[in-house]
This record gives sequence, C-alpha cells and structure tokens, in this order.
Amino acid sequence: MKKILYIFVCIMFVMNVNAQIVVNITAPSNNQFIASTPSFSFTQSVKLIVDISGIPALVAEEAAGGNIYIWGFIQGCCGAPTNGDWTNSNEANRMTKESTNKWSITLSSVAAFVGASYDKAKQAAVGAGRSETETRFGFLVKGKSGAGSPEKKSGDIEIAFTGPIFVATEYRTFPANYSQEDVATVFYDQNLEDNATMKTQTEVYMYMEADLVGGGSIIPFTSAQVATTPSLKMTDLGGKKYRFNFIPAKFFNLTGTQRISKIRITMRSKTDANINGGEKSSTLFRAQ
Amino acid sequence: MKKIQSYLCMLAILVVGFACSPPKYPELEGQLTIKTDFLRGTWKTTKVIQYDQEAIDNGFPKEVQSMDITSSAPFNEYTITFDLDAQGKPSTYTLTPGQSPNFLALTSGNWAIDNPVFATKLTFFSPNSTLAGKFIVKRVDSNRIILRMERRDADANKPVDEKTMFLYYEYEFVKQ
Repeated sequence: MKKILYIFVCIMFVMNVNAQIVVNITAPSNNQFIASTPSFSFTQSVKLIVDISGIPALVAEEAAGGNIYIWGFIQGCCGAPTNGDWTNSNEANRMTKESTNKWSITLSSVAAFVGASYDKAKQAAVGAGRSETETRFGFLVKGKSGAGSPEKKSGDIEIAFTGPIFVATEYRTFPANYSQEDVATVFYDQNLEDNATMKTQTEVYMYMEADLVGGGSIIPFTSAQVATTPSLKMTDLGGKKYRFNFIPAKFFNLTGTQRISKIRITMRSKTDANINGGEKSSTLFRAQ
Repeated sequence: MKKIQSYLCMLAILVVGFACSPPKYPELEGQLTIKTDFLRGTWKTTKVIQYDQEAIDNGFPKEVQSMDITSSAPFNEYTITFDLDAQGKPSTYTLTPGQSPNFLALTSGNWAIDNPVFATKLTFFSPNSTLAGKFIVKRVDSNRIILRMERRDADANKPVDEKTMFLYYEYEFVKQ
C-alpha cells in the first residue's frame, strides 16, 4: 500500500513539474509586483492571461481593431529579444484575444523568453535589494506602438518565479550550449517520444543539417545516405535511451572561415525518413 | 529511557552526517605549490570531464551537469610536454592533440605561469602567432594535475574573464 502511495505521489510530482501554469492578471496602470500568482519555475511553460479593461488606451486600441503585445524583461537584467521596437512591437510577442479585453500569451519558459540564465536572474534580484531566490519576471502589455498620450501601455507588472526544474524530454543536448569546436552529445529518450511508430524503432539514426552564418547550409549525409552510413547510428544505452557524440566542425567538414549558426537534428528510422521524431534544433555559440 | 534513546539517535545522525560531509574546500584538497620543475616533462591526458555551465547555474541534477567524454574525442591521445630553460624557468612546450580537439589552437611555442610560487594559470602562446590560450590549475597531486579549459562566448565588448562561460572541460593529466 505504501509503495502504491509512493508511486502515486511521484506521478503527481512529475505531472505537476510538466504542467502548464496559467496566470490571470488584471493589468494595472501603475507599476506593480503581483504576489498572488501561482508558483512556476524559470524553465516551466506559463500562460499569461491579461485583463486590460482597466487601461482605457488599450481598450480603445482593441476597439479600433488593434492587437495587444507583451513587452517582457527581468528588471536590472535584460529585455526579451523578441520585444521589437517600442513603436513597432515584434509579431512574435503578439498576444491572442481570449474574449473582450482579455489577451493571452503562452511562454515556453521565462528562461527561453528573456534569453537569460538563472544566474543573471538571481543577480538582478540581489541588485534590486531582494534575496537571490526572490526572482521576478517583468512585463507590460501594449499596443503595436506604445506611443501616444497617454501611452498605449499598462504599468510594469512583476510576478515571482522559482528556480529552474530539470524536466526530462525526448531530446536534449549536452551541454545545452556549445560552439562548433566543442564536443556535443545528443541524448534521445524513446520512452518520451510522441510519434507511435518512432517509439517502436529498435535502431535510431541521426540526420543533421547545419545552417551557416551568412546563408547557406551543409548536409554531410543526405537523407538517402543515412541507411548506408553506420556512423550515424545512435548508441543504444539500454532502456530505450540513445546517445550520439559529435564535434560540429568535424562532422560538417567545415572549411576556412565557415561558421555554423544553427544545427537542425532529426532522430529517425534507419531506412524510412518519414518515421522520425520531428526536427529539433541547436543554436550554436561562438567561442572566443 | 526514551529521552536517552532519542538523544543517542540524534547523536548518531550528527556523527553520520559529519562523516559523510564533503571536504569544506574540495578544490584545495591535496593541492601543492606548483614548481616549474614539477611540470617539466610530458603529461598525458587520462580523463576529460565536460561541464554544462547552464545546468550548473540552474542547479539541475548532477547527472546532467557533467559528463566523462574521454573516449568521445578521443582525449587520451592529448599530451603536453613542458620544457624549462637553463635557469629553470618556463620556456617551450609541445602539444600533441592526436584526433581530439585542441582548444588552445596552438601546438608549440612558449608557456608561462602567472605566479612562480602559487600558480593558478598556465598560459600558452607562440612568438609567430597572435593566438594565446590558457589552462586554469584546478588541482595538483604528486604525479597528476587537473587543468580547466573554459569556453566563453566571443563577446568583443568584454574582457576575456568577463565573457559568458557556457561550458568548461577538466583535463586530468598524468606525468609520463
């Protein structure tokens, strides 16, 4: 009985770690820290639903057929790379209209949205006079252009997030960030694969393409060559887990000043390219 | 009687707890002063551990923070030979990476230490090149040395030590 209870608690914990958090907020006109939001971690998906009915300039913007955009940041650290310009928000930050005066956006995580490390978020908390665990995500909602009198925007809204939680996924690279000269390892966990046919493959192969800085791409082994290239077979670690080591510069046979910006990776069946786990990608760092 | 038992129990927990505690300053454990004469000769890599700085910063489980990649490259072909001049000071080096990556980007030239008494950095450069690289001294034993190679983002606006470190390698060398 105790064992069953333990397993149940474990399952509930895993479900909670992976669950998407929904945060409902009424946009204030002044800057506010809103403490009464559900707890979510730095690396967890979060859906923000914002009620703009208290901001007349935004209500008017919506009534005129305009869209509402999120402008994200961590105070004292960094702004979301997708914010765009104040007078021309990036479409990546366009929110979805849920109902009259209610707009939502789903962030895969605060980490991905602001593109900063947890360490930087902690430093920002300390810089603002809080303890390093009191990390906050900041944002405001605005029109496509925030300009106007009054400005078409809410006040700054800050909500708390907790430290990151590692969530196992079917694909990950080790390390998370690497350059083309570094050793990189792709891990694939078939147990977490969504594709039913891919889930049953007893051999898993890699298909990779590299996008180059300045345009162009390199495909060292075409899709048809995968089946006849044993070196592309992932190492079976047992328990339906696989691994593949490579050094990008060597794998893609880079010459001269060629530099990779992104690697696109597909775990697939040996012989049938249509049986695959979907394309994943890694943006490469440029080492000094 | 019950009180005594509970005190004994607490004492046992404390004893076990302290016995299992890691050293307070593990990076200093076994550390010796590096003398240049100690480094003279050929050192061969026996192990390379790669560390993911983001996973460390995020406090992720230990098993996703680091990985032994010795056989992945293969790093056990990587050797460095340190030579001294007539005065016993650092002079030339020869680096043989074999098929493993060479993050120093140099294979020969001159080497230096930052402090003749308590070296923390080994710097490598070449008179014919603008390239230079360094290993950070992590640990020294009688015939073993662990050196760290940091990989930082190429941010032209920051000094080298302030550029964002995204990963690092720790090389364990054994004297031949």
